[in-house]
Amino acid sequence: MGFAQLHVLKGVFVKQVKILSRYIGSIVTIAVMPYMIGGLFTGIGYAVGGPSAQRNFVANTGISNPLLYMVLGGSIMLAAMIIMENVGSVIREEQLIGTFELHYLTPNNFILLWFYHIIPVALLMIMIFAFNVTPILLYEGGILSPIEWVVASFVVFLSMVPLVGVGLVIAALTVRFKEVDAVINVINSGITLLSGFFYPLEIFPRIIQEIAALVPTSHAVELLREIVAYKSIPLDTPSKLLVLAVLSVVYLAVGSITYKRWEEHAKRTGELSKY
Amino acid sequence: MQREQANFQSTRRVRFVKELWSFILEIKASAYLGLKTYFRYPAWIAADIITTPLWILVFILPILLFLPKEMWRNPQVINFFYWAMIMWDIVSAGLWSFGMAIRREQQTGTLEFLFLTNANRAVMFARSIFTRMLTLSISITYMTAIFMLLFGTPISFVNPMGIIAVLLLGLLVSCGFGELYGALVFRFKNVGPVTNILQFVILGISGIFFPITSIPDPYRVISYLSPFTYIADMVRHEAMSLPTLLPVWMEWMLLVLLAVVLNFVGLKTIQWIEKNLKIRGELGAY
Repeated sequence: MGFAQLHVLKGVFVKQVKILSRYIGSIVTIAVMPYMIGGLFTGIGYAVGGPSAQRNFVANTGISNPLLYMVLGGSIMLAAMIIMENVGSVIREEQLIGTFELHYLTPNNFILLWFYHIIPVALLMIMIFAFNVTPILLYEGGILSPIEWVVASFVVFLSMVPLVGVGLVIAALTVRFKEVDAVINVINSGITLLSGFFYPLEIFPRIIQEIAALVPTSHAVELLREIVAYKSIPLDTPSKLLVLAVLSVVYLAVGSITYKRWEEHAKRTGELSKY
Repeated sequence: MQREQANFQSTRRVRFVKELWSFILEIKASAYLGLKTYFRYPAWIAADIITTPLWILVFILPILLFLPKEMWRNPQVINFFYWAMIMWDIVSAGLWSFGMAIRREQQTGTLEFLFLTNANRAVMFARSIFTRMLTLSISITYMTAIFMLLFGTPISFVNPMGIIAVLLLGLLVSCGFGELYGALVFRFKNVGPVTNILQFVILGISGIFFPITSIPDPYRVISYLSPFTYIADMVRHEAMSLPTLLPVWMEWMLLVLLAVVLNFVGLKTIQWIEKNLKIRGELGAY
């Protein structure tokens, strides 16, 4: 059974890598987007803040390099958005080209199958994260140690897992209602605001901070900032990883239940391949 | 001889009225299509209303980090950001309208049919400008309330009529800019990420989120070349009584001139590219 799953994973991985490599322009855009967003925020910030902009930024965030702060946040934000939308878009695409039903002829676990689709994308996002952060670190004259890179990559990956749960909910809505871009926009804006990709969450009232603690990316961004900006692994890393793991289980469980309910309903009503 | 001259003038008048009427009908059809498409997706309208304040916070909070905390509710700063968000709408109106409309028609295979008609090419693809006028009015009302609620600062509307005039002229300028950009989309088909990148560049160089006087001198020349610099400058002058880069009358004249010239050049460019694509048989290719 385990070996068979590896074959499925390999098949999905190869397929996804082939599809991703077909759209080099999109990958380049995603790779440079954090610099565009980070550059815009930093540029405007310096223009608005004047000579004391840097001092104010340090006082408000505790981090001395605004560009690193913004680019790091931008990379994780894009990764989160892409992962959440990807599950839904993979299923929708299969429906549109008429291959979605064919998957149901195989003896696969469909939650695992859609989860496998995310792995190549998550790996790509880890590479983009490294590609984004490294030049700034090199310019500063420092670089992360291999163990710090491993921990940082693991944090990025682990923060993506719960988002697959959100993706499964979006996928269920997508196949049910066909066009759910409006819902995705609402989910994206809420997660982006509460993750603190570009600002510390301490600026919000206590109640908002508590709600933000339920959003996995808020923990990931905080941890990554500490690893990358201070070039050290914080002492509370294991407890934060545990929180991310618990959130992963909860989000994936909610996502799986929602998806399976739709799947059963679709099989009964014959909606599975309707598009 | 006199009768012939009178007949000739009368025919010219009739033709002018007919052409004007046709032009009005084209505008009506384009506006109808734009509005009908917009109202077909009520979920998007609701999502816009829900997400706008969230995106505003996501965008403004990082910039506020560069200011001392006591300045975060400074009326001048908040008003600057408010008008910047409105200006963002104007910039994206031009960039996304024409290019996207042409591309959509190409993809759905209806572009060739539209080009069989003698309708004005600029009006034909200007449909989202009409919805943009509607959404801009909604945005102004809605964002005023949100900014007051989030930051506790009143929004300044020193000269409301002046603001309306600048915004309308701004939309026309943006429209002309969009026609030029749309012509490029028409020619090169898939422009990929260019629209997004261009949007960020324009926001950066046009002094939309900060006065261009804070840009170092040699780079400021680029800002002077952007038409959006003057729209932002005039909007802030009419709304917040801030001094302008050029004398006020000169900026009004410049905006009118930009609106006329950009629309004329944009239309001519679309027509020229259409002619070239027809010769090469690439009109409907995408």
